[in-house]
Amino acid sequence: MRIELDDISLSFQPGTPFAVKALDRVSLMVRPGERLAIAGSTGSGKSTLLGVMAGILRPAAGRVLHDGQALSRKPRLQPGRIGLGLQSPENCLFEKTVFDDVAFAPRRMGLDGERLGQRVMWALECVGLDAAASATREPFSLSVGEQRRVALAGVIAAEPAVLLLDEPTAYLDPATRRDLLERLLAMNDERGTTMVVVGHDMDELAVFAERLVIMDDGRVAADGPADKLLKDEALLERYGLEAPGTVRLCRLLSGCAGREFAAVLDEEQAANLLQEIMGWGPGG
Amino acid sequence: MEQSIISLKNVSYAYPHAAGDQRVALSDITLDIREGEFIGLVGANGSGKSTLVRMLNALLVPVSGEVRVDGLLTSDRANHNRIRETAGMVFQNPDSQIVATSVEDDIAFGLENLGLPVEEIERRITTAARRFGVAGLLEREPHWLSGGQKQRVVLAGVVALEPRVLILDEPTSMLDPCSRRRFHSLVEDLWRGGATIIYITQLMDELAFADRILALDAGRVVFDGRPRDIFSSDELLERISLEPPLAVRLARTLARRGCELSPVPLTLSQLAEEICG
Ligand SMILES: Nc1ncnc2c1ncn2[C@@H]1O[C@H](COP(=O)(O)OP(=O)(O)OP(=O)(O)O)[C@@H](O)[C@H]1O
Ligand SMILES: [Mg+2]
Repeated sequence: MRIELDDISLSFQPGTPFAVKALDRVSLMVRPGERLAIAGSTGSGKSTLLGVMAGILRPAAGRVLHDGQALSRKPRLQPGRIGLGLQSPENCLFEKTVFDDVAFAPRRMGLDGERLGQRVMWALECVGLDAAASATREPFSLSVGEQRRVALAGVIAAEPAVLLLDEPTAYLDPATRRDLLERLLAMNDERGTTMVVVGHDMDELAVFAERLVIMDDGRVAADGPADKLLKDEALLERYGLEAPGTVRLCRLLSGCAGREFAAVLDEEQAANLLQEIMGWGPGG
Repeated sequence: MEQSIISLKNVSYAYPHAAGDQRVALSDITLDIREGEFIGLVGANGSGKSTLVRMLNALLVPVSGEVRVDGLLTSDRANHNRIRETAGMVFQNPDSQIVATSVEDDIAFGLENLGLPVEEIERRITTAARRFGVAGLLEREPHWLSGGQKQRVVLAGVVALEPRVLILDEPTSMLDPCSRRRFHSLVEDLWRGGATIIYITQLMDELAFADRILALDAGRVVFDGRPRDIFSSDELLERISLEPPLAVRLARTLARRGCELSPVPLTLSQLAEEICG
């Protein structure tokens, strides 16, 4: 699905002394099958942007188009088409068991019986939960990280054409994090699922994203190929972001080896560079 | 001998409605934390980190064993107020910790409970708000803030109480990298000023200057030692689902290629120095 945002503005608590302009004339197109990352400092409008893309937040001005069609006036979620993973998804768990929570959207899409069961188990596996052990547990009796995994499984279970995920890896342990990113990449690769991910971890975004949008104070501050923007440390710092570790390392090395090294994003390449500086060339 | 500010003796815990199933959240934990230590607490999701720290400010009391904070037993309700003044905690989910309808009232809430004079309360609110970059948000309704802003409000509220022990349960997970760095230097200041810090995180990079790392696996302490020693066992790392920081990963790649760096660098600056030096 293609999502177009055309000159979108949105304020919270409008007309009060505390009105905040969360989005300020944002235009953006998300192409089908794209892997887009959104970064920016706290409060810069990232989550609001996802909500508008999903069609659950109505902008005060501008148009949102899904596959060329303007959204109807009534905001609603569209399971199967768009899956939205919220920033604090643990606040939205409401069923009695983990199974039912994950099954919520697939059920609404008409799945039942064995197919429903398989879908739920698959989604739980995607987020690294032991499906057999956790399916009957109460969501509220889980640790925060486990709750987030359940919420994420619920979004994935609908197999939407577009996944909009707000900091999906926060609170997840590193193994689960890596695993989840791999699964998301596979979904993108095999089914062409469009991915829009908000994140703060630039190392993760370097692995995941093709394109990066940087938000600043409700506006799009930068929009371009992720591998190019992520190497631009000055740009990232200007917007409160930190360059990926490999890029920072290259800068440190340039400083102390008395030579300029071009930034790299890949760990293997960084290791080669280290070897080269030590004077015995990559590959031995 | 230095006196421990926190001590756990054979502590076990199972959540009440988890009866019937065999899962225990904490299993026979004995440990001492000295005043002024910086402790990093790590472990996979569900390993018991949050349960353990809830023991330290008497939100939970052990099913068996005992916990003492500054010598006070947590099982005695009469001690709870003093324990909570000693050990301040920032919860994992900021929504669960915001109580008031304005940011200012929220930060003031804990201070008022301490019974401080009004001028002192105002002074502390101003300082904390400035330190955490929420000075411009004081009149706002917390409900309308972004996730990262809420997290900063909660941090400001707890740090304003100036607790001797500061317990932080993944405090930076929703902060942007810049706010995160600022927060780290703030915690470091508090620590250098004598506070005891217990810091839960999934990011090893955040623990470069910790004195001591505790790792939990299924409710047990499976590692208690210096940060650099935790990376020496692959089996342990796998068990606690931990990933070494980039500097360590690169040093390992180099080692596999036949070039050992010694000591193993923990941070990128250490790595760069060793390579160029
Ligand atoms: N309120 C509760 N009721 C029942 N069981 C619980 C409750 N909270 C946590 N548990 C269980 O206790 C164990 C330890 O949970 P805890 O919250 O301490 O983990 P954690 O290490 O903090 O995890 P995370 O990284 O996900 O925050 C887990 O098996 C969890 O499912
Ligand atoms: Mg926890």
